[in-house]
Amino acid sequence: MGRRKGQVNSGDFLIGSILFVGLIIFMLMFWFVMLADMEYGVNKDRLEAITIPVSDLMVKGPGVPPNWEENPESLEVVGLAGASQNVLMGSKVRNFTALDYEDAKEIMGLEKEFHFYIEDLEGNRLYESGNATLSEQTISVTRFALLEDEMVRMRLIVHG
Amino acid sequence: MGSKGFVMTLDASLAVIIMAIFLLSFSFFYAQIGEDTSSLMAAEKQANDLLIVMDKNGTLATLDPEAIDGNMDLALHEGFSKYLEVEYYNYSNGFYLAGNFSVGSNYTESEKTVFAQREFLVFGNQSIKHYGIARLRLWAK
Repeated sequence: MGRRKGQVNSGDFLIGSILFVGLIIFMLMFWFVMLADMEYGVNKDRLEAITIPVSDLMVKGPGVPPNWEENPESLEVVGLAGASQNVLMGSKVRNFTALDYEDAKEIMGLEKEFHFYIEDLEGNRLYESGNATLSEQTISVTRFALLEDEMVRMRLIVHG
Repeated sequence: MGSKGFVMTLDASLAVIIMAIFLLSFSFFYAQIGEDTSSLMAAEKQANDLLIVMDKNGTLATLDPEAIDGNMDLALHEGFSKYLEVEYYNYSNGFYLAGNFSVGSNYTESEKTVFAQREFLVFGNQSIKHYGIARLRLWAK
């Protein structure tokens, strides 16, 4: 009698254990997949929180000092606009894209890699700088502006 | 025996319910956090830029729906639908609607729509001819 009770209990215990372990494995997998996704999302938000304001500075502001294009080494805060927002100055764009990559990163306040280009609306690249070998995590912001009276597309891609 | 079985079933049910609540709550908050707002913020910037640039290069002031539509199509080649409403007014002891037009796809209420507005002036004979308002909606295709 005692043996039969013991056998039934062992079977129940075995089934219960298998279910329990299966459930634990499922929950752990669910948890780690979610954590990985959340980490990806948080990193993406961080990239975005940098990329959009930097693109704003570039198309809307003249930079600091405002006439930095006369002496590119004096550039402290990036800005490509002339007297008016969304109207870029050719000399500023040329000097910015000619900057040393690491210097440009520092001026833009970026810890990650960046790729920057300006193209006309047909997609012809007019100016380009930065690291075009994109990492897995990437934020791309497209802005529109006037450059020498032509409408252009400016794209800033931050990745890494 | 029956009483024991009942207690164990109740325990198991409670455990399953608590776990289900935990998983559902976590999934819900995860979905909230995971919502991709980056494309919306970037799209809003694009919509504003587009109106500013079309104002500054005089495209809006043409009041020509085809020219405006063509310009926007050229600029927004990536995955956006658009709907632009333009109203223009004359001023004579108050503003009077002189005309309006719209271009783009039929606007559909979408959660992922961004909106931008810009006031602009139309000049003629070296004076202000019309006061215009452009309202642009962009949403992902």
